[in-house]
Amino acid sequence: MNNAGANAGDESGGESALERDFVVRTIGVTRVYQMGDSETHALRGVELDIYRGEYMAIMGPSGSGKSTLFNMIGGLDKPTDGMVFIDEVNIAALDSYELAWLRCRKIGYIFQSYNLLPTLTALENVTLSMTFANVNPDDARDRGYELLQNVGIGDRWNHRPGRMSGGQQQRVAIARALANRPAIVLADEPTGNLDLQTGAEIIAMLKGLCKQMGVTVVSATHDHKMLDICDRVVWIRDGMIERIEKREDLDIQIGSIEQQEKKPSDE
Amino acid sequence: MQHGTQPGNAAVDPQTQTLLDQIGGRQSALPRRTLIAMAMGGLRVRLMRSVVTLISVILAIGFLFYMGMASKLVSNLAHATQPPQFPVEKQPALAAAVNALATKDLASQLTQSQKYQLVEGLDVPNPAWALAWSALLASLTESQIVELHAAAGPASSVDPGTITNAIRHQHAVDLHNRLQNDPGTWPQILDQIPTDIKTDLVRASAARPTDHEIHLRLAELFAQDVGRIPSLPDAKLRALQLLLGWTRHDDHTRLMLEALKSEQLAREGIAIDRLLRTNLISASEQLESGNPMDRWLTLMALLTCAVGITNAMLMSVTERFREIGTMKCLGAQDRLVVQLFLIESGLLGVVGSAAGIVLGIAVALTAAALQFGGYGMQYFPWLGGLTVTGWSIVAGVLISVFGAVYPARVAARMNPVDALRIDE
Repeated sequence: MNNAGANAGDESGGESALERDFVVRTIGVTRVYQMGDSETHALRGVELDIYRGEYMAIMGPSGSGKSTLFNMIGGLDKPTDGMVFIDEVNIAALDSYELAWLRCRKIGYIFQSYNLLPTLTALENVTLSMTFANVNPDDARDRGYELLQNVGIGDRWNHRPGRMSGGQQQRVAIARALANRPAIVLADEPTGNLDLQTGAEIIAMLKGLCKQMGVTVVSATHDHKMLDICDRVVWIRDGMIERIEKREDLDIQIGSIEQQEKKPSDE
Repeated sequence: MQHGTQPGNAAVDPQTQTLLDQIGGRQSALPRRTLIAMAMGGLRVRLMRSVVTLISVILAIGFLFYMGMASKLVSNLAHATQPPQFPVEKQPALAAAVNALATKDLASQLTQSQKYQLVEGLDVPNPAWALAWSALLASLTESQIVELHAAAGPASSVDPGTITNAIRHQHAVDLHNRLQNDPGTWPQILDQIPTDIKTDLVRASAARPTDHEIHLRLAELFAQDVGRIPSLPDAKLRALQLLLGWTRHDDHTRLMLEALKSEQLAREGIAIDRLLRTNLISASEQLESGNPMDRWLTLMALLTCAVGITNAMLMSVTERFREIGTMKCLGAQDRLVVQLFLIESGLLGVVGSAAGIVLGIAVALTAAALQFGGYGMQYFPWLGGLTVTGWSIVAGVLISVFGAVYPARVAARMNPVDALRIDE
């Protein structure tokens, strides 16, 4: 199913896991939605490996199965058939409690509409997932404050989301996503609600922080302009991977050349 | 692990097993302070709806509380075993009269038992004693009675009304006989009779317990007068006592409660003898267990409140789909979401119950003052109110939490994917 030519070296599948540092591996993933009598095949056998520390974009038209794949990688959905390994853990083997545990510690989420909790301050939004992860409240506060400074809104730690602009809210969301030092950050159209310049700033910052922390970013997007900072782009169509392109191969403007291989993180 | 049946998942690989080992026991709960802060935040952000929900709790619990207090108050009035010192119990006038009889020549003509009967005859609806009393009165001249009165000692301790009433009593017996002979004319005749004579009439008719019909009509007339006349002579009180003694059916309770509606009679009612008190107690027990209508009203109020809370919480869940989904993405357990909603609703319950109790106290005090005047205050069930308060708070919180169970489950079972899907 995989488009073999695009990513040499990934084809050896499970056996290569020992040598190569993958943060996500999907093996023959299918997902069937039962809608009354009819079945909808959202995914039809997807094989995808994501390296630790890379910045990967998932592209595809609506209804392509992009969201479904995205949810699988995010531990929000389980495959009907096949296996999804997140940080070498098969999510199909986890119950909802364990999935919550995994999401809490291994995955950070960034949403198009920010999804901050309106009742909490910026700092509380960031510390919430650390609280879920049983982090000591003092440590959580210190780290939350540090993260807010890293995303450039340390002085607004006590503001509620309603009093912040979209860009500021998305910055809080990035800080929140990174709070538990996740293995993956899932960014679902992170610039969808932002103007071009703010979007570019946000993306640059996200990429910078994730590179610095060795966090993998998987981003779903329609925004072709965002692709120039991606390491790889996966194109999904009709529930299958149409092709996987390295950035160098993309027919778009290329900024500074970056190495495909990332140094392995200790996460 | 029990996931062997999952498609595409043959066995748990070592890495997964490591993670499962890491997870170990269940995640410890959020600190209570954080939970409450989040729930408070939820209430604050949706302030208008929270307030409306709160008002429904306040009204329901206020009503419940008032009902409880009202029945406690009636019970208190009925059970008052140490009534204020009323002349009825000691009857100083009569005692003085008897003493006078014992020291005068006139008195020496009576035997001890006759004297005894004379006193008893005033109170007890015994035909023989009443007749003896009538006969004695009939045999005395006015001047003898006045002499008797004078001999009774210092006027301060003697109620001349008692002697005068005794004289009127004879007229009353005559009137009664006339009424009995021609029952059709009784309303006209009775309307022309002064109230205190009517009282004597009642007492006289008590001497003839077989005339049940007349007793009842007299009792009704009497009850009407009770409301109009601010101060009642002791004789009237005794007449009431007699009335309540005979009318052993529903009118009995009705008259008694009507009588209680006037402050004066509430006071007197307390002083009435054990027979009356027993009746009051049984009546108040009936009230305490509540008549079916009251119970229905209370139940409906509480049910309406529960439905309102459920509705408000369901709306809250719908509005917060994204928020709940986000929390689940961040690793919130189902249990936490349930807790959050239950705490939110429980807070509403506690605050609503407290405010409802304040409202209930205000209403109960006002009602007691209007119904029983000073005695409503004196016998206001402050202590019994503690029990009612306890029950009201328990009811308020239970209803609120109960109303939130279903919405909380809806919220907890939400798929976190929904948080990602909803576009705004």
